Amino acid sequence: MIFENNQIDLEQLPQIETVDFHLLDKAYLKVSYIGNAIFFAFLLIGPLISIVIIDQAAYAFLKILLPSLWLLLMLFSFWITGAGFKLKGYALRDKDILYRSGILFRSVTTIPFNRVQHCEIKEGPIERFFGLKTLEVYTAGGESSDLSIPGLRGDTAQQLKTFIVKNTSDDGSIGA
Amino acid sequence: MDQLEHNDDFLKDPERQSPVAILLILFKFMANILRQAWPFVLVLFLRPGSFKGDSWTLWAIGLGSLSTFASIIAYFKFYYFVKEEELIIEKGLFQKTRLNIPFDRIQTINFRQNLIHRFFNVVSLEIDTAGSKGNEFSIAALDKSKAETIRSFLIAHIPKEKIVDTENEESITEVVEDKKLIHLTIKDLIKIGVGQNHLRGLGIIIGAAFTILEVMGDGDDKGRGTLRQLYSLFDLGKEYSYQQLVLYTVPLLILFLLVSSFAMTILKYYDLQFLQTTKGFKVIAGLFSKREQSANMQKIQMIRWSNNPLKKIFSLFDLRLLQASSSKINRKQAFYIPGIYDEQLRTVRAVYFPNEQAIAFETHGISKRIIRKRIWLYGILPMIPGFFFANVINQGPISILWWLWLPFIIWTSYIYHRNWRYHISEEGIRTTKGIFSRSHTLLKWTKLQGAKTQKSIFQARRGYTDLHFFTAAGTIVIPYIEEAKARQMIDFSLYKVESSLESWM
Repeated sequence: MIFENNQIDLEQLPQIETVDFHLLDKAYLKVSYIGNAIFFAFLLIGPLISIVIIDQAAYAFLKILLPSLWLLLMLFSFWITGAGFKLKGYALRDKDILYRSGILFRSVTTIPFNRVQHCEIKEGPIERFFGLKTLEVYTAGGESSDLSIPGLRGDTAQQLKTFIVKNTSDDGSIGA
Repeated sequence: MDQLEHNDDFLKDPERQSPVAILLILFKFMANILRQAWPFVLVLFLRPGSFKGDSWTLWAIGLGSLSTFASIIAYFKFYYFVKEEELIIEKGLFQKTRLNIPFDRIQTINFRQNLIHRFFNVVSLEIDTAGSKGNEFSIAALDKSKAETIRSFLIAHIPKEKIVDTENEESITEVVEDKKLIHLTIKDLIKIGVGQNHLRGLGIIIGAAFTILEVMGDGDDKGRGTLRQLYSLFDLGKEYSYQQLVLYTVPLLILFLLVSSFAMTILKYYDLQFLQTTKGFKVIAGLFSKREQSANMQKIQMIRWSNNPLKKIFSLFDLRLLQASSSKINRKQAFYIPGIYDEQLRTVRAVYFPNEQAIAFETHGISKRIIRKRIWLYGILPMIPGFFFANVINQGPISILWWLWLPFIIWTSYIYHRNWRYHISEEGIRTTKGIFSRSHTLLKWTKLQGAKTQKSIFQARRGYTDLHFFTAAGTIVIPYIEEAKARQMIDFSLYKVESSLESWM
């Protein structure tokens, strides 16, 4: 390789700010809502039991407090899910993959292809019903830098995986 | 080694560890039980009457024989063998576990010896692998010669492309002697012992002591009685008042902590030798159980050095070589040197980052808003419960802590902001932070695994963000910087990673 050390113009570098993100499949919003509903259905057991078994007047306030706490949490969770959905998105570039998510904490994670260790496609039972898949991208950076992109149509997930794996092996690092 | 390389039958049949493993497993069981049950043991010592003698012995015998039985079974159920370029470990008492370690995933092979190991001349073999879903594997006891054969077999079978050195250079490796960077003298060790961070432990102990005394001081004669009983162990028959107890307890605890922390340092780092090898670095240390640890140059992802006010007096630093590793725990047990001087530090830095001294670094600070965030998060929020328990604020030793908390947090938050600096260059980044101590981390862009901006809604409103740089040895987080700056840094560092063919390992 010929030694090159040209000056780099920062303005000329590809910028993550200008990237257009693909939103997740709309059906994923349903998946999230159903997941939420199941979770809160289980969580309802606590307040229900409290209503049935509490007979002392001194603790009667719990009969109101616990169910209203449950309701508040549920509303909050559904709101976060709905609002967060529009913020979740991924983008592919020639050399890396970006994933954006979060409503209270908004994050954008970028993983260069030549640092990808391997890729996996997963699907949960609810996702499967809607024909959706989750793409997991693993790096050597551990959990904090691993990407998990949910709500992808089956063929999209496969295309993404193929694209990443191809670019990973092109760059000579360990393939999937 | 040549023989081994072509020996396909090596370790083909499952083998067991050295029988010494039974003893080691038993020892581990016992240590675990003790760790879980120490409050009971303490009660037993302080109040011998609280357990009926018979049931206690019964328990001890029951637990003891059960552990022994379990250890023996564990020994007989543990096999290791080699199959198709993988080292396989099978184990499990009730649930059978099979661990496959592909040779090309192996990062390091370490030996460890504690007192029991040394007595029987066996070693424990520890294998570390890379990859997010990996594990670390260990075989508790192997005859030393056996362990060495396995190590050389594995090293010979790790795919060649992972080893940067060519064959020729590798054979030189064997011959060239290690260069000794530092060999700690007793004098150095004493300095290090004094300079170790006792404060962290001290704070916890003082906090705990205040809480205990607060509870005991509640006019509860029983509680105070326990403390008196403790004292009567040292000084029979004397009666103390509550205040006197506090007055004696706190300095005693401090002294105890200092002495034990000092002794631990001496034990652990006695005769420490820090060597530069052709492949990286090596450290050997310890009084009773000698530890040998080596860090391969390619595996080192970041280096971190720090000093505290005490160490600064002796112009000492401690040094961590952060290596690619699969588990968080292993990251904490990083290659650690408790004390080196600037001269050796420079050598290490130059090996990791040859150009560091030659190229220009641009220094930046973080936003002042971090001060406000810390005051809210660490200062005001934790104080809120105090308002609901008025007696906490009004009286007792805890109230002093409660009132001092906010000024303390405000003060330290200002220092935190003042000290946070990051220095960026074409080839890497160096961060400096710390309130009382100062910690520096050096990272080359090529070691980067990915990057992330993360901003809370408060940060987003003002155009600030936290910046995370991921590496295979942990994450560097630069808090509260302008978003434009963060983006520029990500764009640049990604460009460096993506345009370079240099591997991160």
